[in-house]
Amino acid sequence: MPPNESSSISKHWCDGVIEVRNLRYRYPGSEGPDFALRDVSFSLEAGEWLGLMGANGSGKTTFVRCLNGLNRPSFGQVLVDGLSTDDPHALYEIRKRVGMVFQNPDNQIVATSVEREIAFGLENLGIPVRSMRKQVAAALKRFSLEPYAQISPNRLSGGERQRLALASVWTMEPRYLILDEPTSLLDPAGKRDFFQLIRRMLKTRKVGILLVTQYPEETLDCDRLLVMDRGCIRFNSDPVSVFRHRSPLRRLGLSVPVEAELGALFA
Amino acid sequence: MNIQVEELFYTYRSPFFPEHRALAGVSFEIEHGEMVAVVGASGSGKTTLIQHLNGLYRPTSGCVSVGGRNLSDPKTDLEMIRTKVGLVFQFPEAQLFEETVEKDVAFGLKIRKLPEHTIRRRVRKVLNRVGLDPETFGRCVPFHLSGGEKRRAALAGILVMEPEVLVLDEPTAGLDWAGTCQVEAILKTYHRSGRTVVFVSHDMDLVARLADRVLVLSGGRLVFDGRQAVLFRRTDVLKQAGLNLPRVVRFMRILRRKGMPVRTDVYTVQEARREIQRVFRLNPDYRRLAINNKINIEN
Repeated sequence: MPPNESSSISKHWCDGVIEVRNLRYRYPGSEGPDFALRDVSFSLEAGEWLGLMGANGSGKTTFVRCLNGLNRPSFGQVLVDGLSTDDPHALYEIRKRVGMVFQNPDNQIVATSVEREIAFGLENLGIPVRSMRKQVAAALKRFSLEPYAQISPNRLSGGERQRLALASVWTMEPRYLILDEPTSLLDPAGKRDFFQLIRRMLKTRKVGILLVTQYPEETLDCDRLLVMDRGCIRFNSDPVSVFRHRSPLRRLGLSVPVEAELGALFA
Repeated sequence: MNIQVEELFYTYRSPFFPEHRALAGVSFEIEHGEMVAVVGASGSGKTTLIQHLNGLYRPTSGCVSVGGRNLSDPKTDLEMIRTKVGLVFQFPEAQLFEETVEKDVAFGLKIRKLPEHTIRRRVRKVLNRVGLDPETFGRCVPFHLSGGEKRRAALAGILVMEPEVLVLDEPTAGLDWAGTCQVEAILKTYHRSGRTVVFVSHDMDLVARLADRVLVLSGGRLVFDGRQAVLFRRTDVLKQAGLNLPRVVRFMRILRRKGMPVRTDVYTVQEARREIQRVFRLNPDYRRLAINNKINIEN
């Protein structure tokens, strides 16, 4: 089905969900028959929390970049509330709805001060100055970045920069939040805070969250855990059931939480 | 090559931004051949501290010496120090820039004008050491490697200089389990070859598996310096510095709280499994202990 047709058809009944249908993706200019993503189908509903694990190179980042149109499908479709990422006119709206936090915060921080960094996205959305000030202040407070408001982001530590990247996206109030290993530099307090925030967003804002992580224990409270392997989704189930497959996961280069590993010794 | 840090203070200053004191009177000594972890909350000064170890930062006051040479002394040859102290940044793969992995790894040797055949030999050796087959990966574009491969290629670029002291900032952040194991093995081997390894990490399980000695920073001060086993008993220090116990240790403590007499000073899943099975042999009833397969991530 050509993408432009389907986007208008599905607009009405696809609200509140990101739907990926038979997605295949090949990097432009890449040689050979290899697809980075080979037939991925999945959905993320508003208010739902999904985990995504996979070895380095399994296609996680390629996949999440498809969800807001940074990568366009070679085959198949990605529909955000019924809007297709193949439709250039829908991209602005899609990116407003799908917030993304990357693994290395330095890849997304652009401004010269913490405050301006948070304001940057809001400015682009055309938020009036007065309410923007309020929102920036709230984000600084929420993410304990107040003391650094005037400081240059490159003065912050890795964990603080990760917090800043999240704060900037949070303040734009996306409907869906795609988090690509956002906790890799966070300390325990930062992680605690991060997961509290996720819970609150799920509850009060009904945000749909996709959390990519290498730490299996971080996925234990997810609604579903997806495991990617060489461009395919191999597992898609509740985390406790997924972690029963200890040796297949290990063969994919992944570990299971310590408590699942050791808990299996007990009757 | 010993490292001495004495009363180190560092304050970030700039005409545009308020001052920020990152280190406040840190003193310690690292002897040649040690494996040391530096831990602490975000913003506690870990990265600032280790960037002093090869003279990248100059102390605001206090002194850092490497092999008896004061790095603040204008007569000290920092170029030479940097060949002895190799520093691997957070996400070092972001700095890969050459067309091929080989060229990227060779870069440091090239600017030191080593003969071509020496360079080739050392590059091959180091690629093997980090588990990237020179035949397969040497000609690859770094950009096309997976995250774990890129990380190891970046590590190779430092290891090829054969530094006496290897300093790494979050060497396993963002790596999958297999990648973490590989980097862990590389660091272990490098340490066993008689070199000093200093690394920063948030992953207390990694710290437990790898380090002999742990330095804990909190608010720019050194609040603990000692063996890891001692640190894991110091709940006051862990709390003050905002750190967790390793997950393996936490699991073993839960078992103890439930009355199972296991040792809690085990740091790897294999050790823990052996210890649990040892107690099973003494008393098989413990097999029926009710174990919750979820331990809240937030405690």
